[in-house]
Amino acid sequence: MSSSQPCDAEWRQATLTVVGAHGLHARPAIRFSRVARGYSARIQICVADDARWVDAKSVAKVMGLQVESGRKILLRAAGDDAEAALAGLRQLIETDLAGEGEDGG
Amino acid sequence: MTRLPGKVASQGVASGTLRRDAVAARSAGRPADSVAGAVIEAAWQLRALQAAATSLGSDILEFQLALLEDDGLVLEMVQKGAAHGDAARAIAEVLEEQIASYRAAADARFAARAADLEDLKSRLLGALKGAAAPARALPAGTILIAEEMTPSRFLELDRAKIAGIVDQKGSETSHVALLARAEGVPMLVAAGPVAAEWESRPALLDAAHGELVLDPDAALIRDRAGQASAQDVPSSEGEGPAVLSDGETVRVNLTVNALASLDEAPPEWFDGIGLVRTELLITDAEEVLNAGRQASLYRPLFDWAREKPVTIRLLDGGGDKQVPGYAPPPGGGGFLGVRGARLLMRRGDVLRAQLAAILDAAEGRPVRIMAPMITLPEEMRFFRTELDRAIDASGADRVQAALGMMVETPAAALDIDRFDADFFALGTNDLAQYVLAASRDSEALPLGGEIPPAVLELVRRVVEHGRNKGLAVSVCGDVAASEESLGRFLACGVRSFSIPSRFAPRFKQYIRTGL
Repeated sequence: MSSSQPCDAEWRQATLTVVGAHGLHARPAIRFSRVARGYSARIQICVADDARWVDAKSVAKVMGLQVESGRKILLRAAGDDAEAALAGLRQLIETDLAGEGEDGG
Repeated sequence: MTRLPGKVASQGVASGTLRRDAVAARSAGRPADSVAGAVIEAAWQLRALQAAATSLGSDILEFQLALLEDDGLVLEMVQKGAAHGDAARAIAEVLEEQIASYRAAADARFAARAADLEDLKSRLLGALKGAAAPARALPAGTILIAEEMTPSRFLELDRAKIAGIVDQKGSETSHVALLARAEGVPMLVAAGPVAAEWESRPALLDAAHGELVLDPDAALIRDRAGQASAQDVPSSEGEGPAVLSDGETVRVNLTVNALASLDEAPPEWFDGIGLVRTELLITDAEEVLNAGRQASLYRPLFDWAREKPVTIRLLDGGGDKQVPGYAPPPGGGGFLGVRGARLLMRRGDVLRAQLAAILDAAEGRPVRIMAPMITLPEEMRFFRTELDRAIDASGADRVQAALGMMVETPAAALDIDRFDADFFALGTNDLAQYVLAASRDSEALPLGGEIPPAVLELVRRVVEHGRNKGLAVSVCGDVAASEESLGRFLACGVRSFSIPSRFAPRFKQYIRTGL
């Protein structure tokens, strides 16, 4: 929450597909927002065919998108470690969460 | 004996004394005086519970803790608190807005998370109220009646004292249901209001059949507990085909009363799904008419079964079975009135939604659709026409759908050769009740658990008809799971059964050894 509102030109963007069996539901959403909080960059997420960008560091907002498995999502980050944030979150979504079975319900 | 039906969230049978869960305010310290204070107190309490919980319990609480770490969410509560000058109102407003969006979600797993937010809200509000009397110590053998059981409340309870839980609200996909299953605490949900005068009375919680029985007699407790202990047989008996001593194989299918039971049923134990009681899966009036939501209930059945046949019974409402927005119909219904197929035929909107949902979920995999409580041949002609229409409407390239009927009325059993059905399933509970003119657990007749010859005679007729025509006949009443009855059905020539998962090892052992 520390960085100021960047202008559009500063955003770096990535497109990826959510592949874990349970999409970005409870447990994956918690991990996702925790990893996002580890970066100082401002990070936002939205579902590909929707244009509602929300704060990727907020578990409530991430859960609220109700991203199901197989959906495309867009990530954008602005700040010093923006590149690293996008790479780290891509690794989480495409690799670490891909094998998630149960999300606890 | 008074009965209260509920949905099975965690299987098991327990007898004990009913007691209402009185939740005391949880904070042992001073009341928090601000949103921030309540957040800190609640997080502290949740971490303490987490430390004592199993990894599953800990994972479940993690979502609530993550919400408390969500700066955006907390900031919104803090700002509202400052604006209103009322921390409780701020917490309630912000979280209720979240809860409403979860409840409105189409995905049932997502909607079930609303309970975690409710749980968090009551914890935060409790922290604002501060200290109160400590929670009442529960005597052993308590069947706990909850308004709406939450994961954190469950983890606070002394589970050694809890024989079982009856949740008046709740869902079988909730986190607390998952915890109850993991800890083997029998639990019913969506039971509706429990009358105040039931408090402190003896009861049998049968989270196999899905009912709470008030003032049960000793025979009923013995019978139900005996059925439950059938699971003491080594589970390895559940594997492999069930072959009689003469070499004939008996088909053993799974009965599904709750989607949760799929998790406990190893697919390789079963020849398919023999009965899905869809009336127990529907959660609300909107779902009855919403083919999309229903399809998401049925899809896990096909995923579980892989390519093995899945038998789905159309909604069996009426009699003693309630379905939100559907049954009982206006004017009652009752056991001799508009129930089963009769109600479906009057509610074309409900029938069409369900047929569309089943075909959608099947995605070309084999499905056997079964009409409940058929009495007259023209009823099956009606369902055949409706199914054909639904198949046309689905526009699917590939459909493997068979249409069968429940044989539960003497009229159907006696006239069986006049019915257009691809398969038959004997609903032995209802069949016995209609043959005997005595309700299921009536003590009016001295039967002592035996199936009277008149009922077996009808079973034999249907089995013989199936043999002659090459059509499958199975038994899917609860009695199939008791050993004496199983022996009788085998003697009548029945070679296909549908049973709940936990009966399978004992059931197959009996078939193999006759013991």
